[in-house]
Amino acid sequence: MNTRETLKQRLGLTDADFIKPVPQPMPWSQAFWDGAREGRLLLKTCADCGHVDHPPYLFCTECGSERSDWRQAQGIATLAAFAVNTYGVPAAFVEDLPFVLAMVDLPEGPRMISNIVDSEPNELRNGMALEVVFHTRDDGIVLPKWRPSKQRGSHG
Amino acid sequence: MSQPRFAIIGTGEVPCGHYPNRNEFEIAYRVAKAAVDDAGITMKQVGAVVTAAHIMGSDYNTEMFFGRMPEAIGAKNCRVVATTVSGGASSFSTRKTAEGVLLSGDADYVLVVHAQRFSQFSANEQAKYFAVAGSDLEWEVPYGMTYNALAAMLTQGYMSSTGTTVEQIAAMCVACRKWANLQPNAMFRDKSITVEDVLKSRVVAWPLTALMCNVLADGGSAFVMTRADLAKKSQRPVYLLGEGSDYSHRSIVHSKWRDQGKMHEFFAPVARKAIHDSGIGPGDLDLFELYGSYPVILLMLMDALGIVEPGQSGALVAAGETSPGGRYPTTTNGEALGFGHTGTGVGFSVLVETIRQLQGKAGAAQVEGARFAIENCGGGAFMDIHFSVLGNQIPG
Repeated sequence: MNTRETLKQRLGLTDADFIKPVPQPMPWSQAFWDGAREGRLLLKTCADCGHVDHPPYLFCTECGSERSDWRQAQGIATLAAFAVNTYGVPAAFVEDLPFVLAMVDLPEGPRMISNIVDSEPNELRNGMALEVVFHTRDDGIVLPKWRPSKQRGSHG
Repeated sequence: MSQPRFAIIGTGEVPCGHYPNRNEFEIAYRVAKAAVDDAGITMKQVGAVVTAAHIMGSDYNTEMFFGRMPEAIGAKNCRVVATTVSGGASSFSTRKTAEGVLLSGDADYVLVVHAQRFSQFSANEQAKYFAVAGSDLEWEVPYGMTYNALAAMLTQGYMSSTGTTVEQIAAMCVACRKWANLQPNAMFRDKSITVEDVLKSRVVAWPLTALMCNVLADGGSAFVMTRADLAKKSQRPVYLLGEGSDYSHRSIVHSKWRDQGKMHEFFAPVARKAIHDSGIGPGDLDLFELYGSYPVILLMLMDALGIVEPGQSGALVAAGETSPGGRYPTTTNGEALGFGHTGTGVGFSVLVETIRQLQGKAGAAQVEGARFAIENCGGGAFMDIHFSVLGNQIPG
């Protein structure tokens, strides 16, 4: 019996418990997810003061302006810290275990929570250079994730 | 310093753990009665009841919003009811609500109550709630983020930045457990653990093992607050001498500290303000009643208190200095790790233990001669910090 069937029997779960959470965009964040579907990492940038807000909010958290542009990020980042989930996750993620969660810092300013993929956890070091990859889930949701940069070294 | 304005004069608590036949109403009513009895007042002297919300929802919340509590416990002269919640910081925000009522003159004695029964929810419901509660629904939860993973990242970042070892992280868990072993109401009162046990337990979110994570539990506690001038009539008043607060973020990506080895730089000015305002002198703190919810946060809080150089708290803990008999008694109820995690209630249990210690009622865990304590709480995904200095005497 596979993991899912075992969990359903043991914990009384249904198929609905295995549906992964879907990002529910706000009117002011929809462009980020639209961009991800096109393989573009977009950041909400204030048209008045230039501040980059991620996660984006209704108005610029620096100057309050509602005028903004969505600018494409370089698609690189630095690993700030990470963890490896191995147990005790919601049922929808049990079949993915183990997986890496990380804090990554973009040169444009924002810090993001994401997964590190295409690598073994013991290869990861804080400060290492990362590059974005766009991962399409089985349900069609596209999530920007990160992997160690093919070009060695840190982005500085 | 200015004279203190408020005091806590009594506490109540029930055993923490898995008690499926004891519902949250029974917990609330029992801790309320115990606190009023301990305060040496009568139920008819209670002028206001402030409750914390039940995490993950419950009919309890609606009942409290609709004024069940005073009716159920016979607080027949109660004039004000309110529910106040700010997650893990609720022991602070309920207290602030109580202070407002006391200042208004509508009440001389305010009863503050917390109750929680996690055992009514399935394991998957609890896992889902704490994935969402600690993380951002749009930006983090879709990646499989959980509260344990958040704490694991902070732990990994702290260890990487400060050189703290995983053995020192485990030693914090052992220190908490040693205190819990002295507490009749602690979930883990009967079982001792070693550093090896902590390291060998199942990895949950590397570098965190199961024994470095909290176990959700049923429990509750209550306390009675009054004005400092009225408290002089009480047998063992504990005065609120100094306080400090700060807010950082909702999502950890916006934390005011960027390097996880520097979280103490967010905490330290707040602790310094609380100590300064209290009027106590350097070295006067007898107790360090800290609430971190994970071992690494306890170390970060200690880093902020100036006992050792920031980043060196792990060595202090590993040397036994925060354990029973140590020079810096820390979190003497065993905190979430040893006492049990009752949602918003961990801050309440740490505060109630602080009061018990300063009243000389802490039983086997009593730190002899304790006069002054620093206590903290915080909520969210480490969103804020509130330090308070309390004392059973007024300095100066």
